[in-house]
Amino acid sequence: MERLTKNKRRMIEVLYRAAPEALYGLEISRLANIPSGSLYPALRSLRKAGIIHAEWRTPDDDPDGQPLRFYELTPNGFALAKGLNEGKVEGSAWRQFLPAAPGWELR
Amino acid sequence: MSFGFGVATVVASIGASLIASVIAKSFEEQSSCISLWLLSLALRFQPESEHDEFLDEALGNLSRLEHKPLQAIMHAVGLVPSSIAIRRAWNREQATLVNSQATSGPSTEVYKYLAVVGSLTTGLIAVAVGLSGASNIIGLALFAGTVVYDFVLIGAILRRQRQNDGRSSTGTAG
Repeated sequence: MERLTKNKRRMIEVLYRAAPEALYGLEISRLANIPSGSLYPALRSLRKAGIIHAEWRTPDDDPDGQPLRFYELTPNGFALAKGLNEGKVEGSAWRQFLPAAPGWELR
Repeated sequence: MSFGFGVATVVASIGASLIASVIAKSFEEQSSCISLWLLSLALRFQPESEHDEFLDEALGNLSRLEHKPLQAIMHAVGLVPSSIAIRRAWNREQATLVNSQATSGPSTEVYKYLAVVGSLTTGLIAVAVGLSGASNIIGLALFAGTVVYDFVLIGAILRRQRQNDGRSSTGTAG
């Protein structure tokens, strides 16, 4: 079972504020102030739960650099972020925003 | 083989992995070597099915820090606990999958323990071998195995890095 931890909430918030722009891991880590030790597992968890979506691409500011994995909120994730941001999602109400993901649940 | 030799083997197995960083001329090169070594260490804890994605993502993020050596090392240090956490999550998923399909098979706990022991196994065995008073040859073989494994992993990472470089320079990344 996965939990909607403070770190994950911060990451959702950062992606919500950045939308429609997608962010790569390091940017999320900096903006949400999350160390790399927690970053990757949280990104994986949110991706598996269908809250964020990942896409590989070369960064605009470094076309010759390594491809980066950019993240953005899915429609469900965006609705969840909006609800959280407006204080409308309390307790376990966020569950309604989760798409069907067998074996995955945030609590 | 003495206890001291066992401890020395543990220290040497770590030290040998960092030799390249000593040879490196600048601090940027050293940090690059240390980051790669930490990445290779992290890979040992990763579920194999997620190696490629994790490797590409970590290399991508580290490349953004290549001119910030300390930050690069700090980021790479975090890759190890990240990998362990991902492995634990993966194990839980596998357990759920096995339960939902009601099939028999080896317990995922086995994999969990294997992952946790990971790269430290060699060093700990070397200590045990040292305590048991066995031959130095065993300790040396374990040490050599660790170093070879390190180089194989780092070689694989460098190959992937080159592939990524080639892919991005031809504009086909995505």
